[in-house]
Amino acid sequence: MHPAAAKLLFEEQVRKLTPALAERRDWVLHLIDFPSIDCAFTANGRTTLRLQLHCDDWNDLPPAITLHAGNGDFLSQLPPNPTGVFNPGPHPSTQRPFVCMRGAREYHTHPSHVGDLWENLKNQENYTLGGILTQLWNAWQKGTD
Amino acid sequence: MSANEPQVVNVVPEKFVEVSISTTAGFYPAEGYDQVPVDDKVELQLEKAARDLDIKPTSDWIANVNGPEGLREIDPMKTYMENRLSGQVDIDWGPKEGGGG
Repeated sequence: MHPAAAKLLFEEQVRKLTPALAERRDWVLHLIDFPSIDCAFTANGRTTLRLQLHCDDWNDLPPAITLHAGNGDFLSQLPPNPTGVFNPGPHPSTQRPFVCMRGAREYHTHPSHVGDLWENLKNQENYTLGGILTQLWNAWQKGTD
Repeated sequence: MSANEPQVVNVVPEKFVEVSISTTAGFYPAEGYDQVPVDDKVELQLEKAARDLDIKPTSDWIANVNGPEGLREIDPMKTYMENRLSGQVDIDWGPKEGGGG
C-alpha cells in the first residue's frame, strides 16, 4: 500500500472514533495520529488496559498491537481473561504478551497461525480499525480484573 | 384522606423507550434518541441503524447495554421489555471478539 493511500484509509476509518463514542464506551483515546492509535479501556472496578495499534502499511498489514498498563508501561503480566485473546506469550517476535486474535499482526505472524491469512479478512466490516478495537474491547469486558 | 392513611400509587408501565445505538461507524440516530415501543424487538432498531450507517453486521455482532452491573449483552430477537430495558437505552453494537489462543 502506498503510504499516502494507507494514511487516507486510516484517517477515513478513525474519523468515526469520536469523543462521543469514547465516552459511551469509557475509552480514553490518548492518541490517534497516523500510523498510531493509543486507546485505553476503562471501567469501574477494573484495571485499565491500554492498547497501542501501529498501523504502518494499513491495510495491507494488520495492526501490530502492544499491551500496556494505564500509565503506558508495557505489560509484563496479563490480567485474567477467559477469551484467550490476550496471550501471556512471549510472542516469538516481540518476546512480550500479545494479542492472539485475527486482525492483530502478532496473531498472523505467529507460527501457529501463519496459514490464517489477513488478506482474507482485511476488507470485512469486523476488521476495520474500529472493528478490531471493538472486538478487543468486547474480549476485555469478559475479564475479571 | 387522613395523614395516616396509606397512599395508593398506580404505577403505569411505560409504553416507550428512548434508544440510541453506538457503533464505530457512527450513532443512530446521529443525535439524541428515537422513541420506540417497549414491545418492539431490539433488532428492528438495529436494522435501521445498519441501513442508516451503511454497515453490514454479521451474525457475530453483539448488542450491549451499560447498567449498574457493568456491560450486559442483550438479545436483539427479544423486545426491550423482555430485555428488562426502560427509559433511555444506550445500546453499543459491534463485533464480538474473534477466537484467540
